[in-house]
Amino acid sequence: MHKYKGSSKLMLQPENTEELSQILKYCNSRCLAVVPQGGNTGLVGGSVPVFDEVIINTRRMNSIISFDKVSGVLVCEAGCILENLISFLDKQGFIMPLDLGAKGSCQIGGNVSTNAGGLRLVRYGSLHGTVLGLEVVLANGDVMDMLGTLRKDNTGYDLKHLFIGSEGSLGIITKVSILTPPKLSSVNIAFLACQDYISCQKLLFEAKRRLGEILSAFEFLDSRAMNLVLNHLDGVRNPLPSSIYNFYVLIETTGSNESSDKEKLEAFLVHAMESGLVSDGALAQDLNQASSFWHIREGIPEALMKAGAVYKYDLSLPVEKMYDLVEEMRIRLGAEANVVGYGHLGDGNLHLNVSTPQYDDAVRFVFLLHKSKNGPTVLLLIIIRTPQQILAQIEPFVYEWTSRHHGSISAEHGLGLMKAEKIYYSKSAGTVQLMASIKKLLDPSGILNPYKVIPQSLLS
Amino acid sequence: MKIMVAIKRVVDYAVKIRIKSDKSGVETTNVKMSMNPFCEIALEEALKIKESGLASEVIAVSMGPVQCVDTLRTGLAMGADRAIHVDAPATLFPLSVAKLLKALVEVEKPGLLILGKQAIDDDCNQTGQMVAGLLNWPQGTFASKVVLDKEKKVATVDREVDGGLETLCLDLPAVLTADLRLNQPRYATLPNIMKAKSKPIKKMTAEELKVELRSDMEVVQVTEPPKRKAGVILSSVDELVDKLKNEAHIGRLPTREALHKRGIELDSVLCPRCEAEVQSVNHAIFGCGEVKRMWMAMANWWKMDISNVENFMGLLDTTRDGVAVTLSRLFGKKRYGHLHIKFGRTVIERSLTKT
Repeated sequence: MHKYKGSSKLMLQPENTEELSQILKYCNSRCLAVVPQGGNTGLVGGSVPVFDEVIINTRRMNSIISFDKVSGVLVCEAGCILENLISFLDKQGFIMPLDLGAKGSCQIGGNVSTNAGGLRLVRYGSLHGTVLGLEVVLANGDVMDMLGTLRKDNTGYDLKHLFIGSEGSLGIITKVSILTPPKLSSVNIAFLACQDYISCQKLLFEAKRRLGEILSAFEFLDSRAMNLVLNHLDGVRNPLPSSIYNFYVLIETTGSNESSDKEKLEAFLVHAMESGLVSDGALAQDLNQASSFWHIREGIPEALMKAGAVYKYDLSLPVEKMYDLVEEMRIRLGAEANVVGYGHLGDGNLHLNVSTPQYDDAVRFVFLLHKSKNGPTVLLLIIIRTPQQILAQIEPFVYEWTSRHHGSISAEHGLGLMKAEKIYYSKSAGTVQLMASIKKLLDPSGILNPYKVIPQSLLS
Repeated sequence: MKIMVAIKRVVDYAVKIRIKSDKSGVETTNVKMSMNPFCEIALEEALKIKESGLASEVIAVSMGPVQCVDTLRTGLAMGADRAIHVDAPATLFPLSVAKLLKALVEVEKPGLLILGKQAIDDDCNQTGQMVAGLLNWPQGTFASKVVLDKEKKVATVDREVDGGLETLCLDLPAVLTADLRLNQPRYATLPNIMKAKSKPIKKMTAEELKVELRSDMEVVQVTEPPKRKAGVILSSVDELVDKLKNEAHIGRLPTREALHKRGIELDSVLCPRCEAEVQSVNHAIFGCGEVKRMWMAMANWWKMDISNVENFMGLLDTTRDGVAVTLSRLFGKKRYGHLHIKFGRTVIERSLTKT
């Protein structure tokens, strides 16, 4: 990201819960701040040591503890890399209920503690539904065994939910038990083009009705996102090269019967085409084509990185309002920046990205060699501070807009460092106050992931 | 002119192949099946030729069980005009397929028959050549570029052969087989998928084509390739030298001399580096100028004289202590903790003077 620069003198990599508990016990007794870190793939600086925090990395806690083939319950340590879990389950005939672009390096512990959403949420729901149990180490080193594997358990408060999405501010997740759905053999992917945003919405409406039980992803990207991918990633080919369209939609269906699923999808697509919702489209004929369609959608963040500086916003908005924000932002920023919109339309989740050639809110250093006639050569250091023009144009506008439309300023990325102070845009004062009380109860010394999630003013 | 394209339904390229538990073949139940990628390329080429106005019709043909119709449907969605499905068992060998294709060619009389160079399931790479032989047509296999001349009725074909490209000029009608770089197949777009629904797929049988599906071949057993053995960590230099001498099979290195002895045709058996001596094993890893100088330099570090050593085995015997010193310097981090392993000359020299 090149956006956050951490600063820490020590990184610890415990091998098991016991070691992690010892570390926290010691840190708590000495009031040493810690920052839990998984794959460090977060986008809001949640895993960045701000001043001198001790990094606790869970990468060595990476074993799979058990898997029950009948119930589909997987129990594993927090440091397991998502992609490794996906390939382990693949051999057993199951899949992870979440899938995201960073799967090659992100860890399940980080996924759960940030309540990551991803590409399959429209089908399998959020981690609050699929995580059955957790083992968590509290700030004082106490190990909380809540590692249940039951789907139904109404005994008392369901505390695990406090830790899902708390971004390591209440405790460090060490083990996860998660319900995995069986892998269904028939997957079909269509890449479609729509002329306007209204058509995308109508298409979603229709897809939910006509594809209902087999719909497993509904993603959208605008033409600017498509252009970025085509220009910045190697080997990407436009599936619909004959014309330029304003919007592209990727629909994935997952079911158990190849021929009936395909028939259903084709019938739906023919209907969408005839009613004019879809202008053009392609249907993947083999897995290779399927993965190249997905690559377009999953490659957008990478393409944005290659294009220069990027300001990322992850917003939940009512589907019908979602794209208005992108258009308003374009008018606001004019030609200065490339405003890109894409995301999980099926979940009402917009990824608003503003791409500029470089970060303009940075301090720049210029070195000059000055040679005077008779004197020595002098090295001059000039510090240039540019005004934060673009950023000031975006924030707080984006947050205010979202708040006004009853959206969330963080759909799936979390608050982290970037948005800790912005929590009031989405949560009432009373709610935030209660959160702060919980934080103080579980972490009285405030050692766990400081400066994040909750505004500092409430904790000091 | 009509173009006929042969299409095979295979286990999808991206699926990990599993062997059936009774070793009778590859597991295909509940496995994603797709069009053979080389067949896709063959079809794309036919469609391109048609789009450039040099052909009037593209006919996709496939032989096998009823599911082949799905694959033909994909071909029609890509743009083929019509399809023929020959009902046959799943296990067809190349000769049977070639005979069926010949019979189909006699019915349809195309000006070109395009196939993939091979199918990714059995990797036979035989059908195209066999059918060209049966038809007595010229063949351009492994095509990476095809240019048609309608006037002269010839096809100019670039073929990917070992060591470069070969350009052939074929009289039509001819058989072509497509290589990977011939083109990039198109996606099946929605309008074409819709159109494909009304395109005809004709069903035929081997009897109608008067082909007897009999094979002189029988699959005895299908097994996975042996797993690669894990590497070993040796405990001493003596063990290493011993392994190099007895187990490393240095004599099997594919030097020019060795290749020549195996009957492989080469331009020259001389060492490609110095072009002065025959490239034997000993020359390649010990005797050739640069290499020899490297050993001399190493011996210099070891403070040893290897001017009398004649071959690699002799070097191993003579410099056993030197090898031990070098290895311990390079890898014995405990004793030489300060040493940075880098293969730049300066770094090694500096560390040597230090120790």
